[in-house]
Amino acid sequence: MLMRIEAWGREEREPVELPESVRAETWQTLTYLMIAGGIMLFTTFSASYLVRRQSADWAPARLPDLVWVNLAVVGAASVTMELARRGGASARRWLGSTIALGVLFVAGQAIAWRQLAAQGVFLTSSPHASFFYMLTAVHAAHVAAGLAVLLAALRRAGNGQLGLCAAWWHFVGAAWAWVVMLLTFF
Amino acid sequence: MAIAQAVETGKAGHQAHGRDHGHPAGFIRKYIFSTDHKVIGVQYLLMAMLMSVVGLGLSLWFRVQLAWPGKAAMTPEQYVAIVTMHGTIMIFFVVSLALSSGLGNFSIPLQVGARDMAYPFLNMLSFWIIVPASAIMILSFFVEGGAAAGGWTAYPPLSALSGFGKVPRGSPGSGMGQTLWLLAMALFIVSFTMGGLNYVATILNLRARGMSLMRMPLTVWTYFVAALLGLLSFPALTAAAIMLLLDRHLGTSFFLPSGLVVSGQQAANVGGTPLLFQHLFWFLGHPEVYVLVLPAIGIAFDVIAAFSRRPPHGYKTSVWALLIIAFLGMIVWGHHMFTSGMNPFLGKYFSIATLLITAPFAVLGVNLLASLWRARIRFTTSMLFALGLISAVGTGGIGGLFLATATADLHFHDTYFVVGHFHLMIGVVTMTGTFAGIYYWFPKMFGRHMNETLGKLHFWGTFIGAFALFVIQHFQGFGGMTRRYFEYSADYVQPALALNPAVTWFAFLAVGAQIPFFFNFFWSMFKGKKAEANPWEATTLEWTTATPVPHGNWERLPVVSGKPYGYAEGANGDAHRMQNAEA
Repeated sequence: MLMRIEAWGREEREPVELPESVRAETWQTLTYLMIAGGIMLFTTFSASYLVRRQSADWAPARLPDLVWVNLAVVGAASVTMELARRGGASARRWLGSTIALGVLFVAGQAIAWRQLAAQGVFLTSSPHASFFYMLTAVHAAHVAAGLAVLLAALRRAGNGQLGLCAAWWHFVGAAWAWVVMLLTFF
Repeated sequence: MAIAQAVETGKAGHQAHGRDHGHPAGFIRKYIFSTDHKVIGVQYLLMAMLMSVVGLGLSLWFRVQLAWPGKAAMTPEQYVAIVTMHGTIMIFFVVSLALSSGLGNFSIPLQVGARDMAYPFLNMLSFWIIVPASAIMILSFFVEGGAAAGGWTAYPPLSALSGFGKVPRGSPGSGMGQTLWLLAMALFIVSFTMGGLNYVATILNLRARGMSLMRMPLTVWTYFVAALLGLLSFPALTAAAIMLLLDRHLGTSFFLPSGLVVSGQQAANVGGTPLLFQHLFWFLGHPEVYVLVLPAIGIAFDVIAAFSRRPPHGYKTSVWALLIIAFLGMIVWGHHMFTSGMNPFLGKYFSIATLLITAPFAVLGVNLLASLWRARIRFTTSMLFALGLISAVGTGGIGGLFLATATADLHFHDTYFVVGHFHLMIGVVTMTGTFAGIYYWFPKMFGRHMNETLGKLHFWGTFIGAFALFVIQHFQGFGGMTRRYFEYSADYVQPALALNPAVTWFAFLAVGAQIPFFFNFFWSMFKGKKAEANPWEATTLEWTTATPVPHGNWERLPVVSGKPYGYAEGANGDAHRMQNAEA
């Protein structure tokens, strides 16, 4: 068998390189597919939330006011991301600001968790609380993925290829806005 | 254009690689941690073959219990665990790996004229995530309480009753076995999602110059549609799995209802809805059927074209049918839940939407059949499997009509009618397509042919055995034989039970027929008749490169000049035109 597939491995040192323009297209495909998958994930959680809230034991907890501050932070991060995406001399600075705001957002979420816990509202306290903790954790994972990509982009900032990072970041921001609306008004 | 640049850069890239001639990479980089899509494709095939030994072995074990109760040396708890693991392993670790991951990896870049997948490293990672996933799934047999026993669908409450913390234990397999099952499935979802991302990016962005979407082979079209379906439906299962894990280990009540008493122990959970899990599961589960079935049909189109020496009938209608099936496939999941007490109006909707799928499926079936009309058929083993697929699509599809009708399904639900139906579709259709693909591409994979005599033995044993056993199961379902039962005592079911020994013998035949295949596969790698670059005189791009295929697939990337199926129509069916032939 090894003889038969010998030829496949021969010469292999590095993966076959693609031209930059094609690579940019594959990144675009990958990013939009991941956003589509992310939308499906949050849609599924939202549908589950709307079904679960029909039960007799549904008792929404009051969310800490901090979640609204966090919403403002993630909104500001979207603005700075957009400024970074447009390029120019200060692109790198705006990108750094976006990362800082992203970290601030995650820290704010952690504080919101602590505030809620201090009120005696834990994961199993009520289905509404379960959804709050779960959705914030799942969302934070998406933010973390975004931060990792932004950090990688910061290392080689200046080439102006931030469009896809911005797309993911705006998705993450919009997802948080949706989660807050869902948990507050539904 | 980007693709044109790829042609040039590909050439330059190959020249750059030329520096490494005479310095073959080490064994580990070439065969173990390879980023070459062809090696990864074969790795998936080998992994699927290994897992099939377990999955099929389990099926024979519980078939012995069904045919001759008490002779199989198992307890009722072990029986449900064995059935659960058979279903899980066969669907996710055999059919998905062999057909979707294995043959997809091998064929997609070659058929679209790319040097590799869009993300070769990600591709390698996808495979290497499957290895621990498979190991964890197998190892779950050996933990306290044994393997998961909640069915391959993992419905709560049973799957959620973990025995951890205040959550009572539902069954022996509901403990660590179910946790490992979820962990293995989570790894599978990660791997399969990464694979799907790679497939779509490769197909959309790496096609050779001239390869418009409507010039893609139908195999590629089906992999494309299947990958999109998977990417859009798997998140539903991901969400369900997260909530199930929280219910199991952290005491939440997403799925566990109020008032649950297990073995005298009152569960603390309040208000959860087990039905919610069913909706989420089938939102993935039903598209998953098409994720697996469609590529098998796509392969059959390519194989039938090559061996009937005619282009497939109705290429464009087949493409549109695929897209319509994909759309409808996403909105019919509720037909798996007609007996769950859903609103009758909802049931009516799910019935009608499901029955609508019959139309595009009939288009595919008719196009497959019409491709044979007045053709000069070459009855190779690959072709026999493709013909078997047409038969299974028809027979399995008819069973689907019964189950799509809510009123009929109320009777058939959870009987062997369902078991027979889904095995014909997700078992026989998928595996006949897989075998058709393996016999077809084996010469391109290994430079040698598989033995045709052993191949035909494999085909007839598989086809007769599988068809007989699953068709008989339909009749057992008619007779009221319910699924997942260790033993039966009701009088009315005795006539159906009398068929069990025959079903088991046919199962032995179908499984036994895989022995010549295994032998043939490995023997032919070394001793098979040497194959030329294009032994089938087929016309798609994979047959335009050397055999065995070099790293990077082509010296110079092909430029596509025409349709994928350049077989001459009319009386003289032997003429053919390669897809990259100069005009």
